[in-house]
Amino acid sequence: MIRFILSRLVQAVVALLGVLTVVFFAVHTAGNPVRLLVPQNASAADIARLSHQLGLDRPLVDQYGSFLLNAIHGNFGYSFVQNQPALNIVLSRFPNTVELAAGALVFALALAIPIGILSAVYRGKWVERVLMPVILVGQSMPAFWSGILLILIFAVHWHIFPSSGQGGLRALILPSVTLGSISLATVARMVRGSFLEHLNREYVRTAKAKGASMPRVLIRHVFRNAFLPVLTILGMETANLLGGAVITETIFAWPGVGLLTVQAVQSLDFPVVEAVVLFAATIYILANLAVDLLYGVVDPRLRIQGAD
Amino acid sequence: MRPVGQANVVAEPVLRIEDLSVCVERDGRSNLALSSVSLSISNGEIVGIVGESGCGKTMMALAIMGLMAENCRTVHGSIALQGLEITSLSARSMRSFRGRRMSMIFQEPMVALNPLMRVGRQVEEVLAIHHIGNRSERRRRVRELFAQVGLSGSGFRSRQYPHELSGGMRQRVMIAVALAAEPALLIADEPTTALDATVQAQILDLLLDIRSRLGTSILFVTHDMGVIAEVADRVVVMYAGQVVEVASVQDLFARPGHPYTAGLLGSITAASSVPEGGDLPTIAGRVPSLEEIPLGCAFAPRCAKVQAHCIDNRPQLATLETGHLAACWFPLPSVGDPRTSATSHSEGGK
Ligand SMILES: Nc1ncnc2c1ncn2[C@@H]1O[C@H](COP(=O)(O)OP(=O)(O)OP(=O)(O)O)[C@@H](O)[C@H]1O
Ligand SMILES: [Mg+2]
Repeated sequence: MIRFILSRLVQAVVALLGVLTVVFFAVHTAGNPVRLLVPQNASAADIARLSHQLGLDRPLVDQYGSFLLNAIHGNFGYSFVQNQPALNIVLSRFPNTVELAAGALVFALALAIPIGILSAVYRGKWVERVLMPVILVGQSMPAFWSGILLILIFAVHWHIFPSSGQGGLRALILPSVTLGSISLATVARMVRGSFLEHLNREYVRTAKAKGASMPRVLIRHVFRNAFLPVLTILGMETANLLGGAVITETIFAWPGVGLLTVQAVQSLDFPVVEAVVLFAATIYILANLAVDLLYGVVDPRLRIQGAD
Repeated sequence: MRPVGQANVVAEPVLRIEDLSVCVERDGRSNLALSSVSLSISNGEIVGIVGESGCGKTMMALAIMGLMAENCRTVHGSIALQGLEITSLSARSMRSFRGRRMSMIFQEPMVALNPLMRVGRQVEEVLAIHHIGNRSERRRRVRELFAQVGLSGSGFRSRQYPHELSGGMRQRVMIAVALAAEPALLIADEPTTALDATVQAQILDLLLDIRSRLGTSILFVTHDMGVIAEVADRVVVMYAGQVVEVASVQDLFARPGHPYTAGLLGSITAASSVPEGGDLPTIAGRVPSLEEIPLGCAFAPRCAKVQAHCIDNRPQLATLETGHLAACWFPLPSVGDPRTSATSHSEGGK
């Protein structure tokens, strides 16, 4: 078990170094942020002085070296725009993103699991014919479209929910639905596929031969087995949501990591962009590690011998 | 122990199937997977069902259990369990019979158990489903069952998961599951096919032991005549969804009446003389798919003794001697002097 976690940690470090490298060079070839920071009428000397202050006049490889060294210490430098350490800015936005991600996940799972199970159990019956379009609509509507549609209907027309900003459960609902409906479709399809496969397994026939009712077969036997592959997808969805939902947060002016990303990219705020990307990558890796460990909990076949 | 102890029920077979036909729907067409199948099993009897792959053996087993796939339907006939007609039962009553009055074990012990559930709980579940005993009584019964199927000691624990057990041990767990509620009928669908020879022999011994100790009737499905010889009292030979011969195991091996049976027997006698790895001699040709089953004698296209009459006319089961029936227009003559069978599991002709 320890060896497994260690090897995964080594993999994680290598992956993060790769991410850091890519993001550094991508950002530093994107443009010169100094031109966005100085007034329109700034002189060439002003620009040179600011460049020097920000360390942007040093050779790229040199900058890369100190960037890596600092990044390892969790130091991405100060934001060019706000006078604060970049990582602090990201971390301060994170709770908002967690709130939205949780809302989206709760919405998605609450619908996706029953929809997936029902459309597998009632395959080819009217139940499935009613439920499948729901999944399809969720999957084919881009967030910028469904989000704006929801705002028009529920905020502008009916005044049930606020159209933007954060604060309380009411403000959370529209963004959660917008963001969650994409995961809803993915998870529901996955649940449906996995249940369909498992309903034909031999152990299900054994359970029926014992005299088990369909609900019992589903709950006691199929659910845990069929949920294993769903777990992987769920880990990835969670990681995606926690990394910041760029479009949804922008539409609803939700002050999370996604909105921060957009703002930082627009203003070429290198340290913040770098911190955001590294943060998202870390979340992703941690979520996948969590899923792997969870697999071991759910599936005794994966438990390493001697661990129990 | 079982509710069927009364003297007046003795004559009633545990299972009686009469004229059963099952239809399979596929690609908009429907075909008969079982046609006019009849068979009966008495108390404590082991009846073997034998036939090549695709003859409808599993279909018959699943029809009895009421577990056929959705595209299969009983179109005619009756299945009576302990005298009670079950083809017309509600799903709910059928569930209360499954696992309780009749149970089934399957071919692949590797996949027949739930991989995420401890084996003890898989056995206990049968008792829970049928509301037998309270929790501690059920636990005790599970331990008792594991001992009964030879699973106590040797490092076995009921807290283990299926993947921690060998194939033979898993099949023993399956047998414990099947026996938990003391059913009158146990259907075993090729329970030893996936196991190696020594383990196979152990499992067969276990089933024989269970029959003699508990008096359980067993419907034993196999394609292996050698296994039939070891366990069965009576044999039902199936071909293309039909019963082609019924006889006591002694009569069948001594005087097969149907050329198909003779062919099956020929392949085992030949098998013992075939070098390791050599091909088994089999009956030429293959089992027809459901769409291809001929209108006359289903076996005619593969039969060495076929005659013009066989092509267009389907033979019915007819008595050759007491308790020995074959569906053939030209049954094989018995070799030498046609003695009457010494055994008396006589079900009689129809
Ligand atoms: N659900 C189904 N849909 C369509 N055809 C089926 C279905 N189940 C079985 N069949 C067909 O019915 C016939 C009998 O199948 P069955 O499984 O009963 O054979 P079997 O005698 O048990 O063979 P085996 O020794 O391979 O287990 C085969 O031709 C098979 O293809
Ligand atoms: Mg079969």
